[in-house]
Amino acid sequence: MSVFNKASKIRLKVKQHPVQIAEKTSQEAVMKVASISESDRLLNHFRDVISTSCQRDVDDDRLVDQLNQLQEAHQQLLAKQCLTGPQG
Amino acid sequence: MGISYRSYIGQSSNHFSDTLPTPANGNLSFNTPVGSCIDRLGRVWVADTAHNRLVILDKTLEQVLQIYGTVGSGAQQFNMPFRLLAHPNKNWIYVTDIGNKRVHILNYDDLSAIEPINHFGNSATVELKGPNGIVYHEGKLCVADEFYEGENGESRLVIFDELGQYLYEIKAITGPTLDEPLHLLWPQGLSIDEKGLLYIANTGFNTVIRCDWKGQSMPFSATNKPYIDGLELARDVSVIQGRILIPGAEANSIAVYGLNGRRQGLLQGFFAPIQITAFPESNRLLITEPILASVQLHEINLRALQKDNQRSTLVLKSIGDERDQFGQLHFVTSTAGELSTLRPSSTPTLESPLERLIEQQQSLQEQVLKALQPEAMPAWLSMSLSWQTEWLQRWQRSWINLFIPKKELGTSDVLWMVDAGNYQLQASDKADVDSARKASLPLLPGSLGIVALKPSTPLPNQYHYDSPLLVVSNFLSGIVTIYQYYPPLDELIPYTVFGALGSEPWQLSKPQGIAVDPTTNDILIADSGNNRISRWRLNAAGIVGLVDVFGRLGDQEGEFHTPSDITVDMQGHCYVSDQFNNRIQVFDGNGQFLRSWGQAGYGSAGDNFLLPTSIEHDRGYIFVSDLVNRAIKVFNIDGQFINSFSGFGADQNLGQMWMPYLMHVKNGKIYLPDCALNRINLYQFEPE
Repeated sequence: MSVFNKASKIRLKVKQHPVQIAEKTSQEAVMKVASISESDRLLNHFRDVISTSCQRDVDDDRLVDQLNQLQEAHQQLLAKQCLTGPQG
Repeated sequence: MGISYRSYIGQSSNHFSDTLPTPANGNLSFNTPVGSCIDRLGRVWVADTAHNRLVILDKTLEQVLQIYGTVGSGAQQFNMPFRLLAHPNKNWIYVTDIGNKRVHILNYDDLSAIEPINHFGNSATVELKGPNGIVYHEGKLCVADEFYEGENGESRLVIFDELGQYLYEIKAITGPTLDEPLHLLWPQGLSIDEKGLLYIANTGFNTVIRCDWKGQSMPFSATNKPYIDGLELARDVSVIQGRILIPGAEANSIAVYGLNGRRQGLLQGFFAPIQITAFPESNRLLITEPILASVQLHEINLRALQKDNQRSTLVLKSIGDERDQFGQLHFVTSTAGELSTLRPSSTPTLESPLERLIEQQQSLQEQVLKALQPEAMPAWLSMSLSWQTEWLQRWQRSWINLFIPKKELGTSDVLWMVDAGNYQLQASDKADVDSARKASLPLLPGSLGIVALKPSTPLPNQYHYDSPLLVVSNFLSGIVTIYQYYPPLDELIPYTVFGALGSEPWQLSKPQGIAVDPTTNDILIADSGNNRISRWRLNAAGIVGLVDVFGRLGDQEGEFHTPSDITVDMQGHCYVSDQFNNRIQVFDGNGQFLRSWGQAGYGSAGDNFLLPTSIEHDRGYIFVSDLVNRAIKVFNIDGQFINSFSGFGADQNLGQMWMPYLMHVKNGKIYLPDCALNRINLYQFEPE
């Protein structure tokens, strides 16, 4: 078996049986719950901003306020995760 | 005929207007710096990898003393200088020149004169394929040959004497506690401990291996295994103060292990750190952050890490600009749209006086903020402040941009770019190096893929029907945002959003490439974290709904292992780059498996793939960006190889690649964003 296939099989096995790393799994579960709620909150922010900006008599102060809140939500996400390029 | 390189977009800021030495703050821009070392005079050397040069600073990191090297293959030239090593007893620096497949030996003196002594590794005796990490012990050098291809594809370590004379190679790690030899796959960073034992970041297996200089395994006493596993990533390793430091073993952090192999804790507050170098003063570490384009000096007592606790370091100094100047790109990941020509224009792109004023003001703002900050800050606070400043400035600039008259973007012949590091969409209407300019309010952090979508009829609240909608995936939050062009502001604003983070059918995890099905106008997303493809539809009311998902984790037909990108042909057939299965899979419009092609292996041509990352369809051809082979490969729709273009390196004159991400092809024009080189390479494909 080539070394590439061997490495792929090992990666696949780790993904298919994540419970093998029990300690890590519990950490991931906590992070995942937090991430889902954050994601939903951010999504709702977006929806609010979009609906506000589409209104004919848009209230500028309210829009700016919403945008500021959105910015804060982004910052919170930034502090927890990162984008590191093509996986591999 | 075939693929030819034409030009690129993405300005570099690597020129010094002042004579050296000059203050680092405000003058120094790195482009994905990887390696570092401290010479015998206490000076700091940094491999400014994508700028193809070495930067030498004083030990306080206040002054740039010297810049050495240009791009090329001559005696004083580099193509991606990667790792640096200071000889312990001589005034020599070793530089692995990975793009030129050789190692330099440079001599320095206290007058800042640098003279090349020799280079090695590219002779008939031994031909290195990808010299990466390098260490020295008792007159011998060990070099990690990352892309060497052994009989079964394995990489190797190569041992030289200190002058570069080849001695022997290590292809596998063997020992009495091992059932079978440990093979090396894409080894990158190397380190040694006080006894001279080797530590290898074996990236292909995400492990750190310990062995002696003959390749005999040296098990850790806590585990009786000669390797540390369970790592998210193993690109580097450093043994410092009797601790094993593994950057990136967990996201945003550095994992710390004892020499017995037991985990001691985690250093937090980083982005994606790579090389860690011990500083002459105790408890100080020099750390490169390639993606942040920064080099940082941290303080931490590693012995305080015990019983798997978590600590934050103190950041004493951080150098390197934000890569947010006019025309610059920072971690560009994908593109949409089209340029009329890939040839550079003869007219320069001019920055308006107002834009220049804003940049000057923001630069002042940064300097004032830095002056107000205390001398040392916890890493998490330093990073948070730096990001908050960056964000504040993005918002300032976006709001101010609303009042700057610009050339209208809502026309045809515009290339849209996801500039993830600057949290912006940028746009360009010509193929010039400095032609990128900001085109949207700040994006969500983690924005990654983009595709243009033209609805069949105008949608409610769509302001400019002639301009396509832009669909942008977000890798971190699982949210997909559809932007529209808003003529009064000449900006892109959100039209609607869909998706959320998770594994339910209507959720996404680590979405990467996006495509539009030309037969249905559906949006297809490579949902890489869930190992499936999801299909969504934007209806005439402007609402997006889930239509279908297909695929699951595995390596059988119809299964995926990190599908990173998708494209759809004129028959509605879906082509998926099944990245970690090293193949392309084809499905019909209902998600039924039709065929696949490709297998794991090196090759700049043909159907061998190593982590195929991106795929596009254009006029009956399938284009694949093959990451590790650094190749764009063209196939017909049946998977028959037609043509390719390849090149590993950072030479902007040759169209070389380092970390190519999501490719875009339209009318034979290939737009390949490289998130490590921070530019978009432009190629032309001409069929026979």
